[in-house]
Amino acid sequence: MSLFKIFDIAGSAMSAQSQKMQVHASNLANSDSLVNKNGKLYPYISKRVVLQFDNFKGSKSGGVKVKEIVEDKMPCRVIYDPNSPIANSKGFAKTSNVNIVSETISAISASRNYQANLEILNTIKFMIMKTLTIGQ
Amino acid sequence: MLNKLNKEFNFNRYALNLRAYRQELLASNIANSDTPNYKSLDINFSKILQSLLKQNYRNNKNDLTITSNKHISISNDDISDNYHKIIEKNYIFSDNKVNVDAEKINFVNNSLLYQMEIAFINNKFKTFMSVLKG
Repeated sequence: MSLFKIFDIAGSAMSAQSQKMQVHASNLANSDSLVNKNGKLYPYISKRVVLQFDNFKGSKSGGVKVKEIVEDKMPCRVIYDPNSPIANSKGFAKTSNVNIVSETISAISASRNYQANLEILNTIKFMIMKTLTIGQ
Repeated sequence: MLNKLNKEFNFNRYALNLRAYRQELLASNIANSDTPNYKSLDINFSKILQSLLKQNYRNNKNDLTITSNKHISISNDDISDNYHKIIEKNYIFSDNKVNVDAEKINFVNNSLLYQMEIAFINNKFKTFMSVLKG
């Protein structure tokens, strides 16, 4: 029955969106962090979730899945900060490329999307309950 | 007799099934509103219903009378079993952009129409029951 399939669709979208929220929260939290890579310090590079259509077998419709988490290609900002541990000889240091405004907005958008899917779930539940009343 | 009652509900069955199917497509559109390269899907409800009813009419014409128990009956009942395939072949149209607001409105609209269809079926049942009870 296709109504039950919608549970899977909305559920997959909800889990994908919550993972997206998680990544945005981690980006915001780490906007000032340094990352230790191979014994050297680097500024934190912001991460981005790529979603993908996940279609069901033998059907046109489908849910969502997280395809991959990629690093943002935005260049790092360079500021004058001679006290920073990663400052170069002239006193300039790279800082992380997290854009706080766009991260916040993306997080809000993901949360709205989550809510929309929750509403779908409630509607479908109501519709199935209504279907069960046929003939009563 | 039951066969005739069954036929009486054919139209409602198709309509209800189609509504449920459309609901699935719309839910998929809303769920994928953030997916890059996703094409939104929808069906042309009235066109499909018309063609299903036409097909149903044609199938009913093949209703042969069986005069011996060695005859094989032509099953005439179900096109609703494979109708998803028919729809997916011919009637789904897709759009490159997902308009979330429009999809949401369609979703609510479709859900109400589904419930309306259920109300119709219930009314029909009530009519039959009142005929049976007298």
